[in-house]
Amino acid sequence: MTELIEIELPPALADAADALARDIAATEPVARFLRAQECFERDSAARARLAGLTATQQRMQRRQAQGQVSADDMAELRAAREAVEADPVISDYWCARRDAVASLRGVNDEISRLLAVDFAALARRPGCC
Amino acid sequence: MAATPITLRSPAATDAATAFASALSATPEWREWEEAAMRLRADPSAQRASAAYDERRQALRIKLMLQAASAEEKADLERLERALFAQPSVAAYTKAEADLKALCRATADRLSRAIGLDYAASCATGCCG
Repeated sequence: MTELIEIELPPALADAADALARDIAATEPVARFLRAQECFERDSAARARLAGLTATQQRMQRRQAQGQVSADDMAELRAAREAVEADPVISDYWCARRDAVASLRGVNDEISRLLAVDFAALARRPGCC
Repeated sequence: MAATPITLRSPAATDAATAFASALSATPEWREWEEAAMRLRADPSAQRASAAYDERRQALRIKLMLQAASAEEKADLERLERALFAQPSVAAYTKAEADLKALCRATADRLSRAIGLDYAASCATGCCG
């Protein structure tokens, strides 16, 4: 969620968006995601594991571009991945996120059906896809 | 990770989605976009310019992909593109669409902040999804 656009929404639209956000947040998948996200953010060990995997992946991409990936590098990446996959907090967070996204897509389908145009596509930032 | 069964459309979210779609379609930006689209469709000069540009671009598609188009061919395509965007109804539609997209992005940002998920990216059907 980078580069947020500061446009003052018409009050009726802002109110409708807030009501929709409240209802989306109250749906079971999104409520579960918000709880899982909170758990993840409170768990410093889980955050460190995920940050470790991200850093390892980035380092590996750089080494791959230079043609310098060794067996030790691969073992390090595998270990970082396994540590993340075995973490129940991260696993729950990812599962909950996937279900929340599926639920959100259902809501967007409904809005898009009513508008006869894909609302999310209209809201997409230039350069995204 | 097994998929969790989810309800895509809760009644509350559907009601809120209906109110939201109604509020969005009542904004000046939405109305201006719809009117601009109607004017564009009804403008024979713009339709001819659009057809001429599309036809030329299609004819050059492979050459452009292979970066094999000649300078004359590229210049011709650019001339047709300029002629298309010089049409008042095309320019009006382009501006109306940009204004509507900016409003939709701002609205989606408001939703994203409230639900902890990037609305537009989560609902995208392209690589962002």
